[in-house]
Amino acid sequence: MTTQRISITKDGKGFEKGGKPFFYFADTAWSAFTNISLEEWKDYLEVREFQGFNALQINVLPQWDRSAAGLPTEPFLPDAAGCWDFLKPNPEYFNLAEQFVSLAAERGMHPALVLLWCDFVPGTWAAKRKLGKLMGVDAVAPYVEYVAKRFRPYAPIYLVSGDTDYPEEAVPYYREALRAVNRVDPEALTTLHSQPGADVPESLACMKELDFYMYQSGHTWDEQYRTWNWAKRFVASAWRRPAVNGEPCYDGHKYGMKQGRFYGLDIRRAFFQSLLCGAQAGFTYGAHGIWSFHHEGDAFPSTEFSGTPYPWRTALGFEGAWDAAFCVELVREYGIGKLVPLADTASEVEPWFLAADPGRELFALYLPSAAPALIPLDATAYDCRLFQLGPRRIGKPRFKATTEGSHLSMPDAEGDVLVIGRRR
Amino acid sequence: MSMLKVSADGRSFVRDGKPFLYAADTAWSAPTNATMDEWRSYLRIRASQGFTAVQLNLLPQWDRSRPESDTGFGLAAAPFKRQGGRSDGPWDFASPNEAYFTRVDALVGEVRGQGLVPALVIFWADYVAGNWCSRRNPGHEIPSGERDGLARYLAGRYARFDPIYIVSGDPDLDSAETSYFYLAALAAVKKAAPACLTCLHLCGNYSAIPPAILDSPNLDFYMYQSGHQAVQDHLRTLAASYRSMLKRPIVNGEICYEGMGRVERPERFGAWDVRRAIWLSLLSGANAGFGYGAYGVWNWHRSGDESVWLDIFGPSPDFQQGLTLPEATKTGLVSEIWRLLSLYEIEPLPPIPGEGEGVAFARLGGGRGWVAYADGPRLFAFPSEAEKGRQQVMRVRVYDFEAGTVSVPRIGVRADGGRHVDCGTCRRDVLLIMETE
Repeated sequence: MTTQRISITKDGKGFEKGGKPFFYFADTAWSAFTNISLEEWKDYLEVREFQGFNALQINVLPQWDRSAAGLPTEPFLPDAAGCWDFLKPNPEYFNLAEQFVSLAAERGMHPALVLLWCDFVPGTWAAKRKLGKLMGVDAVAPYVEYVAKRFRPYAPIYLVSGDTDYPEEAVPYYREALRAVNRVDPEALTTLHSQPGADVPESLACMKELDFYMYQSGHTWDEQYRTWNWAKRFVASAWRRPAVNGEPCYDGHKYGMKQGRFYGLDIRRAFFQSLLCGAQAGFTYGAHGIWSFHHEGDAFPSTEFSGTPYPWRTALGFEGAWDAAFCVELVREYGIGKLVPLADTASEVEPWFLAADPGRELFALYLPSAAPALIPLDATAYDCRLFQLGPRRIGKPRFKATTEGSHLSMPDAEGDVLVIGRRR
Repeated sequence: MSMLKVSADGRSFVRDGKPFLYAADTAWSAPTNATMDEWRSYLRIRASQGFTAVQLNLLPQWDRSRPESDTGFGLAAAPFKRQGGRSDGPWDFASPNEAYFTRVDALVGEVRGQGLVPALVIFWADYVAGNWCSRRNPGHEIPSGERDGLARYLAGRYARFDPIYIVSGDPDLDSAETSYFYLAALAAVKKAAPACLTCLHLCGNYSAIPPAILDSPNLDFYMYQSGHQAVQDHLRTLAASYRSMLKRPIVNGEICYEGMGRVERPERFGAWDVRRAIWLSLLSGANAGFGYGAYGVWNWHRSGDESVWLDIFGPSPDFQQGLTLPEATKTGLVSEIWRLLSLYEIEPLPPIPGEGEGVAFARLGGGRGWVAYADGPRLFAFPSEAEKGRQQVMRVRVYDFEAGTVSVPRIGVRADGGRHVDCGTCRRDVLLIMETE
């Protein structure tokens, strides 16, 4: 069972566990506690463990946009009016939730638990759309303390918010929650999970109880620039913390309102565009049908934006998870999770992303589509490998030195390409 | 980039001070068959796929593909002048034809120019009396009086391209005549090009090397041929037999060619056969490298050409089709795993009784753990030396070749207390890495 805690490295850029670098590699399972049986959960865990995942992002409370709206048990006991009494957690619900978490921990996966999805928090976009039940601010601390005590034995991470924006009304909720976690389980790392366009306000960013940044590059085709924009934003932050792309495009999810669905190539792009621009502490994968734990025929509330989900057992077999696992393996094997962003041409027709260590002993170059590139670094002085990430082949790139750096000849590759060079 | 050398421990190669995996593609027939344009694009593709060497025959390859009408040497001139100036006279091996070798210079120069090691055959077996190949193709055996001169000429001429010399091609060494010929040829080659590494390439599944050759200071490494026989149950034992000889680097220089028919069987060798041959050889002791080959490429076939092997290996794909056979694209992966795990310093473990011919275990250098290959999904029993010390295995990974995935298999404990790693859900063949770190 994984009880050993994750902590932040001295340089403040990444995580470690037991004195060794820890690259957070999570799957998205927001709706696990409400939507599948423990037997199904074991099948799910078996696959994710084999793939090398080391964390699972789960919503402690029912996910508003989960597949199938019913609930086996309610998370809170009813008050006199029959509504949830947020001060009275239902032990039956939390006993079951704890079993889910315990099974994951047995397989070496850390629970990354969302405390307050934004539909429970007044003033947020979801509150305005009346998607959930609103919690009173006085219930935040008791609720969070109860949860933090419950899950403390399982070396959890806390996502204090979920998909949130930051209206003034909401900020005290997250502040209270951060403090409450810190009181009960100060070793647990904390973060905020935000809407794709929402930046963490200064009033929360300055809190010592906040341990790392998580962002959501999201599921809209036209907004994939958020993979690198947020990474750069957090690298430049006055409060330097590790950063994770905690919700990139889900495998099998629609291109937002556009026709088409994301797949492995998009996952790999999100991975390296985030990593090489500074989101080096980890990466979260998500499969459409898993996060909402969809069974065939279930009602699903946002097909227009997300597209009909796949049954979860189908989504569990998506190749994108293996793509992400392979990317993580490359990070671990080649040590490219500690590089400093050097240059990119993100806005151009044929973009590329380049990062290197401060001593320029090691560099990584990512091309979202195979193309020639002129990079500001003499790659001919490096021993280079070219990874054709689709078919997972390894070969050799061809560089020519120029006065401006070096020129990569058109790679013999379809799809995206990663070049790793180590100085000779 | 400089000449290959033998590593300090005598088991592999280094180039520019770094471990070098000999990962060759086979193009025996290029000198007569490949146009320069084809050759350049071929080399560019092989280099980008991660090959590190190209094997070719300096003289015309007897079993190259050619049109029935071709009684000459394809795109090349004749390699030697005829004795007495008669057009049908025997070759005068002391009079190389400059036009032929000028073309070969250009081909070999391109290999070097791509950063690949030219692995050049000096005397294929049909040029040497007393073995199966010259018995089958008599008429152009090199007289012993011309052997050393020609060996020196060839070795000296190509030394500037930093090659290695494969002094024989495909012979058996059953006769003293053939053995002596090659023993002398090795000496002549070494004398003419002392910095170039030398080896012999032998016929399939052959390891009966006469002691005089084995003891020769002019033989730098072993190259053998596991070959193309239908049943490939000798991969581990053949590597092991070379491992037990005088310590030198070992290369399986001719594994079953991808796309070629199994001897006298209808089905062709595919990606799985190729991987199986590479990995079982590597982990059983041939850890200095391997020679891959694609049917259509080694013989440089064009559609409509005649092939002497039609009845045995089946019809040949043409050169371009052979060039696209899939397992060649995985060469860089083999090379990278070899480098990352330092497979140049492994110690092969004896076979586990009852495991069959499709599994090989080796100990990683420096007590870092173990690596194993199996040609199908399985529960890997822990090697007995790991069980003895009850050693803690900290990091286990399995590479599933067909799925192209790396994953984390679970360690299980059997009723008798023995441990195993569960790779039972993999698709087909797997590489297991167990690190103690």
